Amino acid sequence: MPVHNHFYTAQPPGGQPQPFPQGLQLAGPCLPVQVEVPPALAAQLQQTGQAVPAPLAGFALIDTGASLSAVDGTVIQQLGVQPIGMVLVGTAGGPQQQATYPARFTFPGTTLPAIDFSSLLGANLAGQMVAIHQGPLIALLGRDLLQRFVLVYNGPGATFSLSF
Amino acid sequence: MPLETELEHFRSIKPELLRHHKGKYALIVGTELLGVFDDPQSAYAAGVQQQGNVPMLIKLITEEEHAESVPAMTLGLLRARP
Repeated sequence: MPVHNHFYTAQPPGGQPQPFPQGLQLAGPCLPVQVEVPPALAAQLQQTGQAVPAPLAGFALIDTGASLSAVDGTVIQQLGVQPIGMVLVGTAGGPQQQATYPARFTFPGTTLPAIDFSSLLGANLAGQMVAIHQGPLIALLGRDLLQRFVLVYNGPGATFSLSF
Repeated sequence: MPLETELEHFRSIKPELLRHHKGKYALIVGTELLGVFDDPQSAYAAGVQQQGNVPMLIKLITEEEHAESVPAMTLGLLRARP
């Protein structure tokens, strides 16, 4: 079973890298992610002589509280992906119907496979930065993804692992 | 609201879909049922092949629909996008 281990470390001046539990606490279990148009749409665009939009990069936060993964709506609009569904979601203003979108996620610099989501919640993540990584948060990885993985969160060791 | 026409059409034909295609995925564009598929990926591939990159409804044919839970949004920590 392949395993992706993600380490949070800090290196004191002149010293060796050390586990940095506060880094994992502050940033959360985050992965670099690229959001791409779904393969079926990429194929259709190529068949009709249209350019396939370039992937958009940022970070994805593993959110065990979310039943459905989410993607930033601005990102999905930049990719030109159209909605394929509506789901009922609890929000601060009460239950609301929210649009869902298909997309492919890849995880650069990791051994994780590309994931083709048939349904991602469109969310407003604009302006949310991931601590430590200093990059934009553009996706949440919910339990629809985690049902394919084993997640181990090691707080004292400042690591998390995904096995698949 | 996006896909309002498609959702209304789905509701109108849901009893018929449940009788014959329970557990499968309906593909609807406008007021037209384009097909019924085993999985959402096949439905999407057929949708973009037939109609191009347009809004489309891909919906599981089932009696009960569940709400999704994203506490970060429920608590207002993240903002949902209608």
